[in-house]
Amino acid sequence: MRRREKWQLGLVYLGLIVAVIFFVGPLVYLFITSLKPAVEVFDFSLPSSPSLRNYRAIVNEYPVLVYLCNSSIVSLTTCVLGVGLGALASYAFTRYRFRFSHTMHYSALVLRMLPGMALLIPFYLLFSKYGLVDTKFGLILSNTAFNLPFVMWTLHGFFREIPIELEEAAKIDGCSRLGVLKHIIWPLAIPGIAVTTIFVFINSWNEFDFAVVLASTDVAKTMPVALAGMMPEYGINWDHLSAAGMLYIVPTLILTFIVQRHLVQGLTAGAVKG
Amino acid sequence: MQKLITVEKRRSNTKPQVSDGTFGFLMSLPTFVFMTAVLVYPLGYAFVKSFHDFNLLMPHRSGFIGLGNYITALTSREFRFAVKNTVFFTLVSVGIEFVLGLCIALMLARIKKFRGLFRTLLVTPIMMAPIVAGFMWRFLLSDQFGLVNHLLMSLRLINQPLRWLTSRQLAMWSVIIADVWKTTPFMMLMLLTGLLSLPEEIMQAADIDGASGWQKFRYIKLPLLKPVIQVALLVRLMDAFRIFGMVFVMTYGGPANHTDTLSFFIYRKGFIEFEVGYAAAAAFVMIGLMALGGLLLLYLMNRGARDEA
Repeated sequence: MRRREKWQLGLVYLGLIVAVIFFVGPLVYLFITSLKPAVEVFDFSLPSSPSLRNYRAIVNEYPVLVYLCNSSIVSLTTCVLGVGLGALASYAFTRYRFRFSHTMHYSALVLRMLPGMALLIPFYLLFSKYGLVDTKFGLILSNTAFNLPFVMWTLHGFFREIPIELEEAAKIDGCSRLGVLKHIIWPLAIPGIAVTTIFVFINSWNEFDFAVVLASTDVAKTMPVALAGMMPEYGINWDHLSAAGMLYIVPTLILTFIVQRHLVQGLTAGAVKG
Repeated sequence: MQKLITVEKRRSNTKPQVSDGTFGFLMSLPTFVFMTAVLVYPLGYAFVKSFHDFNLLMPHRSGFIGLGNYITALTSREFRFAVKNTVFFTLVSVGIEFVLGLCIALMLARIKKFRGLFRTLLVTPIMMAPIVAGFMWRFLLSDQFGLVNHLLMSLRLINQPLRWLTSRQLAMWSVIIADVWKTTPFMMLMLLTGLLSLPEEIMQAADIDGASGWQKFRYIKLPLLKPVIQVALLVRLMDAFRIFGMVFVMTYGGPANHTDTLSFFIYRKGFIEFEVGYAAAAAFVMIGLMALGGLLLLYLMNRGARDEA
């Protein structure tokens, strides 16, 4: 009996190791490739002399820093706008009842489910009318709009946890509604807001569907669009491409590690009935 | 500064000037305006355009054609092929992800040592951009020199390299592999969280009654996990149905449209052929299909719940 259990446990660990190889291995392989010279890319071995020359090349020969910079500007501004607006609305929907508050809250969910392509067509038409195609501002607008429902529902989960008694006590002590927001809610909501901000950042950092149409020149082109344009048929090799890819995913990996305790909340916002 | 403080004091001692409802409304007003302007209005705009013959390259050729675009879409073989591809991709990849995610979650729930470490490692791909998952697997699956073909050949499972990305039979499977890699961790994490929150007493009671491992899984864990499974499946199915970026970098819809999904079809029609009205109509058919699928799923799940009650 004991022996059988030991065997079982051994098999379980073996299975998990195989799983880790499948899920982490490809990224490790990509990283190793990024350290190889072009001639060794398709040798299935460790690099003979690992070096950062691909990283240097990608930064010097292509405007990769411009794309990373565009990506950062778009993502950070989306965070500020999206979380700022969304937090106010989310708090209002959690604490106050007013006409259409339910309708608005739930229609946000429906909008979140929409396929991006259904929005991309009118975005393109309207943005070209108002000169917003190929601008960072256009991308910020579309990303913010797409992330607002997400922010509202994620923060709803956090705001709900704050006991209403705290607010009532503060009000009895003579605190105004804005005072409650500033002195009670804000300090308690900071962790939730931080987590939500990180998710919004990753969402817009990864956003490709809109950007591929709305940002095709270097003024606004973000990193994923640039990567998609660097595919081998355009004469760029895997040695350079893997280095560019690594540069692009490092922020995602770090941020994922930071928010790993909240991944479930962030990935199912609104889908879990609140 | 002084003045501000006195103002705040006076306010807090008197009754607020606006009711709670109005206050809440004012707080949500900016978001409401923003979403109306940037989501609802464009959507309505696209809806109107879907009834027009509207090509960006031929501005003169535009006019109201009623349901024309919808009829063209529903009767075209190309569109129906895209629907078929999308449904196939969605069901197969979410199916594999669910089974694989469940297995890994059960294994993780079984162990005590190193669980945190394994969990952290296994969720690495979870927030990865689809574009990166796509181009990385394109590299791993490339015909002549890809790692996957190399491994399969050195294990003597195949004699010659498989044309993963360029053959009609395998191209969709390549996209599925990349998607499974990227999103199985999500399923795994959801199910693991569910498994770990199951009440300990029930498991102990089952042990005392002498339930086998399979019985515990089938008659205790699975029914208790049902709500979690529903959410995970709903989120993933909706997401998989919209797949675009991965197809874009891996196969660009090819070979011969064999990985042409609905999102990619709309992209092609709208931004390569510039048939914007037609693309808009296709997008609304897609929304309709998603709504139908979602309702069907909810119906099936509710029926299952009633059967059990």
